[in-house]
Amino acid sequence: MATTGASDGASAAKKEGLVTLMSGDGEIFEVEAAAVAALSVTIRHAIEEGFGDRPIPLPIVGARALALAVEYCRKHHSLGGGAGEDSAAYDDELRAFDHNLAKVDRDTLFDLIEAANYLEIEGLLNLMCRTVAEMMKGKSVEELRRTFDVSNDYTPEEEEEVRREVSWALD
Amino acid sequence: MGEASSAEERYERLGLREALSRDADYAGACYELARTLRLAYAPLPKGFKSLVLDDTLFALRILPDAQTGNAISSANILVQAAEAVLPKQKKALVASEYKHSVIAHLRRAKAHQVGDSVQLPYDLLVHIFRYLDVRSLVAVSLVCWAWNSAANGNNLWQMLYSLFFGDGYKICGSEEEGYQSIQHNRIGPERITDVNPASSFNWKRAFRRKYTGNSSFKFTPIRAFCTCCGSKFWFSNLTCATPHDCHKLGNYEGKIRPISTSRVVEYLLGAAKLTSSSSDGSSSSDSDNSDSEDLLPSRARQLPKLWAYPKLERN
Repeated sequence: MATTGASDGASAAKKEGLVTLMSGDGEIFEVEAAAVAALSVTIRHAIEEGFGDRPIPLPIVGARALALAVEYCRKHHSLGGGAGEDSAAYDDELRAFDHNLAKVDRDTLFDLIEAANYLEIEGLLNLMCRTVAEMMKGKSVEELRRTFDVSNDYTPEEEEEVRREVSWALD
Repeated sequence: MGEASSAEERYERLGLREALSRDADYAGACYELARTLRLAYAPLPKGFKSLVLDDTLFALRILPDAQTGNAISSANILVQAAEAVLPKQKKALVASEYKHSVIAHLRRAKAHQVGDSVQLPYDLLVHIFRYLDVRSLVAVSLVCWAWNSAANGNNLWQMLYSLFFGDGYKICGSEEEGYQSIQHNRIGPERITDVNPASSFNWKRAFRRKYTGNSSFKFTPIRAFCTCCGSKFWFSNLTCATPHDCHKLGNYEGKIRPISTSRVVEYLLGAAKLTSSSSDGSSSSDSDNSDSEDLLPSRARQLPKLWAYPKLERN
């Protein structure tokens, strides 16, 4: 879909069926258009709008997150036809792949969530959000602040007040 | 439905080992294991005893990996139960495993260093919070203002409300809000959408009123069941993102109700089957239990027909 008329001039060494992505930090990725377009709504739209023969700029996506997102698209495109985890095509191999992909540090998880959100890769977004949620479950407030490096911006009085409000669920 | 099963089989079906491996269920599983040791260890056969001992040692061995602080206190409850009922030799085994693990756990907790703070925008926080159970959702709201406002999102609480209490019910005491009918706004599990922004109905308050009005939720539930189809869940797995649509109407009291730990132990001891015939409301749903299980999240599906449905107290 992205390859029609891709041969005009400047774009160097353009191969059939490839699309070029540029991460926010300026790194260039040449990837299979079919795979990323099947999984990422944003890239699909960009290709449809004629970005196919120019690098697609992805300003808020870092190179590392983009590399992982592309890997996700490739794998899911080749194995599951881009289907989400509810579909029958979601087999053990994909499950294992997802499981391994989610084993990254917290900052990478956050980067991937933002990347998946920007690229509109629904399966990846859900996977990463669920992973972060699993890290939150069962933790105390102090542990949550520590794990996610969130500083407490409540005044002691406010915190007291908020705690009182939710005591019904925590006692 | 497996009433004639052995204690070992019933124990396996509780899925405690898998639960121990999940951070969110570690504490609950430890607690159930402790209760099991205290109440069911002595009367039940050898094979059962060795399963329980294995899991006890397993729980203590993985304690360093459990990333929550109440992991240690739950493990402590487990160790105390083990000391109360186990023979000397096994007691020593448990004690030494525990000692090693506590040291490792503390070392690991210390090793965690604080880096730069990264914050996610509001809509992504909400998306993450959809995967949280009630208790965790409330805990994250205490972290900071940004998390508080995301965790109080009306949509989240509307979904939780319908998960716990069903869609079609009038809300207890809703007259004061002057709200007539609950809008049926089922939100697909995969997308966040802004629904009925015009609605000023406070779903969190409504949830809280129903939840606190039901005394069975008082004691930190570990497991729950659906009063309509009888499916069992880990409480930590009841989230907006894994809606349980059994398409059956519940009673007015609500759909999801906790299963007490003593009920679990009764089940192990084989006593729970005594109540199954007298359990009103369950007999009608027994027949079509199987079709509704297909709709469950995979984890819940691993826990088929555990024990007789708890009796519903109506007043």
